[in-house]
Amino acid sequence: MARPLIRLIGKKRGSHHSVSHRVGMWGDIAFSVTLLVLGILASIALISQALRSGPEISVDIWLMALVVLTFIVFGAQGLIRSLLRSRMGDGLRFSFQQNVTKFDFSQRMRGRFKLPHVPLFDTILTSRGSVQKWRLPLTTGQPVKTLAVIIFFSIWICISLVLVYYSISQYLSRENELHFSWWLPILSLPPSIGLSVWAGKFLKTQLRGRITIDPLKLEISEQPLHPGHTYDVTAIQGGLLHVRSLRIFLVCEEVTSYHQGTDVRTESHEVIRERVFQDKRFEIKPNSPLEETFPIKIPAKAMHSFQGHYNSLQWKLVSIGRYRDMPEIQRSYALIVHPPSPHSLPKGDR
Amino acid sequence: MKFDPLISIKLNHANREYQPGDLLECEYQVDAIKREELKSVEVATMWYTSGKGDEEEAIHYYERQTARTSYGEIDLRELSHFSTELPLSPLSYIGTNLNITWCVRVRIVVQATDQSPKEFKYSQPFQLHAYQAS
Repeated sequence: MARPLIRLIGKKRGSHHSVSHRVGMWGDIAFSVTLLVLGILASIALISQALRSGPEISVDIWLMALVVLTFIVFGAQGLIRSLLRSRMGDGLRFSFQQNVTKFDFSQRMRGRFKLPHVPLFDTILTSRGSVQKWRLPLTTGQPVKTLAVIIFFSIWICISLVLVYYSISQYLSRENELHFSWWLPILSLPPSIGLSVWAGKFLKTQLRGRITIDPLKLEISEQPLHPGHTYDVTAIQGGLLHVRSLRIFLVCEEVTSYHQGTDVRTESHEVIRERVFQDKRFEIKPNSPLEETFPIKIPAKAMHSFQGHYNSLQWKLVSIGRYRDMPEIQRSYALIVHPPSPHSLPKGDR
Repeated sequence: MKFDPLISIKLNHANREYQPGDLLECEYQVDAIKREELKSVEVATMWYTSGKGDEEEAIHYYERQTARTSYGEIDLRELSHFSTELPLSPLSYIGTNLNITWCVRVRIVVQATDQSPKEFKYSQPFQLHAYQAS
């Protein structure tokens, strides 16, 4: 398909370039150097002018200095960025990566047990459990969803208040006829208030589930996990609840990020989803909290946790709880699976 | 008609399957090229990702030889050898949206008289599997 000569409106998709990478890089360098040189020359001229003008420096010289400084900063930044993108930058980066490990004492201490691109189990940040050895960290409780609802609700409340104020002020100050500046805000008021009420109700439901229900705690007998091993997990929940159903899944998912034009998109794909616990229609009372222990087994041929810049493989336990008069609550608990080592192989297999 | 140079890579495990900590020994050779045209040879043991996400790669071992050294000109076409102990992770993986592939990659820079430099590369994939019971 022929490419339009001038693209006024449209979005670049994929990784197509109009010119070669090399031409683009030299163009960037030329532009940045020009900006830098212009900035330096202008700053010299400005300093000499400031010295000539005496002890009082006028506002226009300060403003010019600000502009000149911007030229220098943007020129230097562009030049460094262009050089780092070039092959010289590749060499510098590689050399830096090779040498930086010499000064990283924590990496050296780990020695041969270092696991590149595998998340390390942090014993400092992970808390001890009450029934099992470790309490699993809660990674998501849909905080983004709640935050989005709060922002949505706040925006529409503000819009509604502004419209009410504007309508009243227009009504009070109107002179002869009904102008559109009066009836347009009045017409916009009902949908705006409607959206605010709907967002408020949704937020109330979200917060009620979050505030009134004790978070489910999951504890595990060992961390990090290894493929082929079985571990005990204990689910603990207190409060006063009528639980319609509580299900816990062992999940392994591939999380990939990719550029699409100027956007970065993230996609998750579950490769393993195994139900490890399920209970239906039971009561949790203050004097009899839920405390159920169940086993989980990491499949012997499963892949370990992997963390790259754009791709990762994450293991987690996902709980889905349905309670009476409450919304469904879903929470994730991070697990770390390390690759098998001679020490981690089941006895008899070593 | 001029053919592209030949790059051959031979690994010490015929089935190209390794375990973490194994010693990977590799022989590589560049052929079908004039000695003076071969300017540099780079060899790397590395992994890269493929699939839906943006590609990323990491180098575990890297070595670069140039034709011109402080001892004079050397012939880069000769059979060369390197060995490296493989790391504990990441292991090879074939998933739905993500694949992790280990390989030995040889990259050469060739420059014929009065021509701009060209690069050729060849990768020999191998598997890095988890420890198995012996």
